[in-house]
Amino acid sequence: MADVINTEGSLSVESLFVDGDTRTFTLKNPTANITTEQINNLNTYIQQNNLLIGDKWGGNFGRITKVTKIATITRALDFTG
Amino acid sequence: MAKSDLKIKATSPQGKSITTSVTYVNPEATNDQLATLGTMVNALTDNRYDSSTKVTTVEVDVESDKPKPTLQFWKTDKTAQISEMSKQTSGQIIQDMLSIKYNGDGQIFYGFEGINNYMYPISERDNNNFAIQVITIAQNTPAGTDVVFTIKSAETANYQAAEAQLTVHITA
Repeated sequence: MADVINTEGSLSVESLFVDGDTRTFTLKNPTANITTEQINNLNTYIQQNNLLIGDKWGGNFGRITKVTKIATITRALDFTG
Repeated sequence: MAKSDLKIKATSPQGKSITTSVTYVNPEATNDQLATLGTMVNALTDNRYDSSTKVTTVEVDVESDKPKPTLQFWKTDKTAQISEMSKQTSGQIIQDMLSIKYNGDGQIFYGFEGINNYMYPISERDNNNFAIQVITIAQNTPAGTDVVFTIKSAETANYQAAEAQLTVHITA
């Protein structure tokens, strides 16, 4: 059996909350052409509707600070034969 | 505060499912709001299961260039560093007065990280110095314990968020 290489993509969305903490959620399988406008629109919608809250008192959502697309490559090595 | 996760499930024409999760969602969000949020999030992902999809690494950085404010614990006109408090103080709790120096314009929270993670908002303000009973420790705190106090200031239109810590060593 030959080595198997698997590539997975994820999108890390890092946000700053009012309590000063940074919280991150990760989306699987991001699309290739994500624009700043898409992120800004998402940020605005979350802010205007208070859709994300932190897990401490006063932890209201502040803004998205960083969005990173990550490619994770795993390689399963074949030691047979 | 309670929070919940929004799970967005997509099924490909091949019948394979991919679930995307958005955490820290406000449990009071309406179904319409969640549907819109889900649609916006879906637009950032490929909901097709395709082994030939190539992924590149791209960063979209929207970091702020606002200044970081001064945020410090102060005692007797100087920056408070590691302090010691004796358990000999009478009463149920040990108290000491410290000031916080802050030149920003946002909300400040302080808390006792290590004992609990509850952050209290500070409302008093006098010429950018806040006088508060910040050191309040239960009398039964074991001697030798290091209690870490944290202050955090919120980000505002003019300043970044900031954080400072003070360690208080409880002596016998």
